[in-house]
Amino acid sequence: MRTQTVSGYPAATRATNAVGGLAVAVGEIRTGLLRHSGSLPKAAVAELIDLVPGEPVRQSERPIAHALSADVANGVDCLIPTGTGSRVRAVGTVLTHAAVVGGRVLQTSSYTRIDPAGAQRRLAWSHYTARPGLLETLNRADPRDLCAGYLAQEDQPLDCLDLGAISERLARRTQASPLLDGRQPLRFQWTRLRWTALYGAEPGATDRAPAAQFTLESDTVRSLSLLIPRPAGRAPASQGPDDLLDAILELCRDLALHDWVLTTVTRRIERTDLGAGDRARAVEELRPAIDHLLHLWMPGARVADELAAIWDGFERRPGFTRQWEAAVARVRDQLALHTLQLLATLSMKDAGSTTEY
Amino acid sequence: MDTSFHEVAAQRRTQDVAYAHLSVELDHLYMEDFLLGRDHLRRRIAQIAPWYDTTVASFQRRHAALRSPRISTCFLVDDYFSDLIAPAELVPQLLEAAAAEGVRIDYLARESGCAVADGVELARLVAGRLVSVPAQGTNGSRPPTVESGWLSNGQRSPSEPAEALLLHEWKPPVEAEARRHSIFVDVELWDEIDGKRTWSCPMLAAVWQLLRLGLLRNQGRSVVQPRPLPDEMPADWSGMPPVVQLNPKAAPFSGYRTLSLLEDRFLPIEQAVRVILGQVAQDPEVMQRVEHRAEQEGMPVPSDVTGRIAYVFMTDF
Repeated sequence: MRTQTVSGYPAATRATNAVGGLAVAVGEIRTGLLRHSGSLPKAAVAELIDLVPGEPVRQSERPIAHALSADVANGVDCLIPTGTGSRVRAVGTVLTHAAVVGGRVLQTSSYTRIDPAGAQRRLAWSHYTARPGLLETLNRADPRDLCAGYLAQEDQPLDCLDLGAISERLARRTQASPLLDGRQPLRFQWTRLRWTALYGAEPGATDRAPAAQFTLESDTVRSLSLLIPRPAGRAPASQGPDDLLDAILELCRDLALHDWVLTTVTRRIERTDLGAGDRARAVEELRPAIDHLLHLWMPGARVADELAAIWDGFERRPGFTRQWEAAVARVRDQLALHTLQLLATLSMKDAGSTTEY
Repeated sequence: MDTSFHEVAAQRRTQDVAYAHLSVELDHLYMEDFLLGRDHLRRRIAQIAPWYDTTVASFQRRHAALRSPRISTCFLVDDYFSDLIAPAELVPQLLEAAAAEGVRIDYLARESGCAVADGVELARLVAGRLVSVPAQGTNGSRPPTVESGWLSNGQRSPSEPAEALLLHEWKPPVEAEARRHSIFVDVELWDEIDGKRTWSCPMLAAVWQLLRLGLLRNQGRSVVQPRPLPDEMPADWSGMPPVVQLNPKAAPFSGYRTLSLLEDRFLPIEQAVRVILGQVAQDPEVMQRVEHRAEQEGMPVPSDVTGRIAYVFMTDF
């Protein structure tokens, strides 16, 4: 299909968001450990994820060192799946950024909003670069249907929107940086979190609570479906839908991070086979997890108040922190028992030696 | 109890700049033009005056709701590719010719300031935001095909080793926004000799347009602040401010829209400029603020950048 160049003049009057008021965003996050033996210092982190010249890497210190890169845009013109099995062509740009937590964990995250109003034809490229991070469908689509289709993506043909590949390329490129010493401190698997969000004001809808569904699709793939209604008029004027999207991105990264830390630590414990005798070896095997991961657990610390209820909900069921505390307790028990054993050995040695004062 | 905690380094702040309604560029001369003597310069400036009056009248009629439109004028001196004439010699010549022909030049900029201004590599900022136009079927699974230093308006012909070319038929390049037939343009953005990068004229002209539209920021801060003409003119152009404000009462340097009055020899350059500008991912926050302010002033702007740029190509007829 050929496309036409049109003057962009009337475009400013087009609604930028959504059929029925709810905005749609989709994304995919990769989470893993930097290929570096220790915690990467703040300045090196800033250099590592300095992706866009002239745009700051945003770094914070409390409650944990956190760095977030600027967004890099990529152009796409492809099909996106819908829940009903049909596919709709969409054109625009997707954004990708990197985050480093505690100087150790790397997250690469690609996302885009989707305007499902249906532009009928592909417009001049300058139309899309004027609003990075927005795809526009050519035919009208239903927001809920787009979310359902995106999450069911495993079953879709290969030519559909592939945000995961873009996140993965950034992860690979970052891991190849000469700023990293290349020494992976512990064995782990990268996780992928694929998410969708319906958010913003929905005219006519009564006060609805946010809803979220987190699914472990496989060992390494998770999906998250978010519904974040915001009653029209409640948000301060300065907060557009994009502020809410920033908060949603933060929530998704935070959930992906904690899911990855929990997964990595529990797998480590499983592999170490704590019941089986050699405690010194067990402690040695657990050590990298203790050194690199235990201090990273701060669920919801960076999540906006408005979305805190979602973390709280996941804390009740399945109870991430409950499982985390149980895992940490097992690690600490091993350490305690090991320490006791060492002390016992020492005191036996002491008892055996006859020292006179 | 209500507590709040902030970390400055965790936030990004965007600085606003002042905007005129329209920024008008009054022709563009190469250094060589100045070597052709004062009479030549006078003739060139004389050619601008009627076009300027016509376009301003047309702008005012189009935006009749603006009671007193803010229009600033600027002149770009090409000192990047050659700096044959020192500012102390060139600037008085130019001002004299402009005064004699009744043309008001509010701002004088030097082209090298589009490469680096006050230590900030503006051209690199823009190059870092390029997002190339995707062919249909581009879904993110493969990295975008980037030829370092080049930017096209579509898809290039497939390139293969010379012996393979003998076996395969040639495939044409395709313009992404073609109307049935392509006009394929491939723009050289820079070249590098012995590690030293030289930006191309279209690349610098693209930066120039973004500067005039007030859309460039470095770490959220505006990148060029017009300064008065130095009391003592520097010996070479690098000593001049990137943008000099000649008229103390001038409307702001940047405008919601730009108009360039150019001789028609610049037509291919400006086509290349539009190919570049269409592929610059804009800063959403800056775009939002500009659109909002322009709207409030009763002069809504097109949401895409190339729609804010107007030209008159002046032909000697």
